[in-house]
Amino acid sequence: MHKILANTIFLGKDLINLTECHSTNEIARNLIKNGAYREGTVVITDKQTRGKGQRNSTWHAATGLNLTFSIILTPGFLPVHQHFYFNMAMANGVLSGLATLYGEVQIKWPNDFLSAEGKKLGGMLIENSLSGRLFDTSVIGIGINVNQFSFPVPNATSLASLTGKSYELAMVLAALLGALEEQYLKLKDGALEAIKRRYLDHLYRLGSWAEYNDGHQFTGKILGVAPSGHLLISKQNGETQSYEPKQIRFI
Amino acid sequence: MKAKEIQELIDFISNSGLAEVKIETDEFKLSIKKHAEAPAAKAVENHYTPIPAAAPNPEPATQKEAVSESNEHANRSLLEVKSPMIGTFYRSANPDADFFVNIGDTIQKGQTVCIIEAMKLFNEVESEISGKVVKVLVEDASPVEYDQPLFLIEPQD
Repeated sequence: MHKILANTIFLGKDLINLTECHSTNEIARNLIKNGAYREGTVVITDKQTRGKGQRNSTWHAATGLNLTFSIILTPGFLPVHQHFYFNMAMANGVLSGLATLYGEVQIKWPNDFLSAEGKKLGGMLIENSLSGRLFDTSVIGIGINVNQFSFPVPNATSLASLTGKSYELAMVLAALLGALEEQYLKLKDGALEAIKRRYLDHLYRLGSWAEYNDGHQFTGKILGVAPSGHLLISKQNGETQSYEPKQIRFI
Repeated sequence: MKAKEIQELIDFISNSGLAEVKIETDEFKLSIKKHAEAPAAKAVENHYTPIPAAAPNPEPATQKEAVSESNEHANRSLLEVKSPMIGTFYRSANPDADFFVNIGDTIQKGQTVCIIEAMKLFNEVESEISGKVVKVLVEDASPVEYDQPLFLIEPQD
């Protein structure tokens, strides 16, 4: 993937293309440490050997079939306590980008992307660096299953599996970068409520009863997301609980 | 891109274990390939280039001793590094890595001292002061509140 045709102002103008690396987030963070970046720099690889999911989990992507990239942003305007709005804005960007290629995608709180049938299409991992009460730099790592047809786990899918056609990775990247930049600029404009509304509009299981486990299995209904990013779930006895990602499992 | 930036990029790539790197921007195209035989840790250049992912270097002992003279719970001017958010406090980048800072380390303003994870967002916290780490107030991997003191720092100019 040597040329991308993203119609952006700054995102992806500097593109670092690696044949192989441990993790594009790690490369991006090292670029920041060495000062060798501009806002909007994108690191992309054909083969990620040690992709990061959450702290101990890993993200698997088959070589050359899927999209794995990280972008560097410098949201110095954003107060630290609004960090979840940043997460929502980036998730919305991925949604919009995928909508142009495939259709409506759902977000599984906080940052996984699901097909309409609820299969995992991709995920996102954000690593920030904070200076006092403000953001300094942010690395947004995004993985999207694009042309892979078989998966080691049953609950995964790809754009090609969903639509039956294959995609040019450069086109998918261009669509995502364009949409991510647009959402980032919305955040910069302070459109916090619109960002949250769009995120909730696409939130998987919002407002419907389903099974969860927070140590005990229970039937609950997602009511929304707190400004801190906590997931708000109402239980059948009328009580509302707020959860961190590690405290709750979707059954 | 300036010559210095290219130099830094090459240093970064040679330290990274990558075999091949292609970079393309509006202004230039750069392709770097490392020979398989080239020793990876060929850190010949001793000019000031931070090595990615290396553990923070302990300061020379002499400097440490000089400070500890005046120290010992003389709480006269210790400053706190506080948590900017609710989350989980981590002292290292991942479970296998060394701690960002240890007691006795001299840290610089802007240096990463810990990670606070909140809602799957990983936030590196930079120290706003330069000085010596006197105390670590929170256990690794434990929950922290907004504004909770994390480290005690003896400021240095």
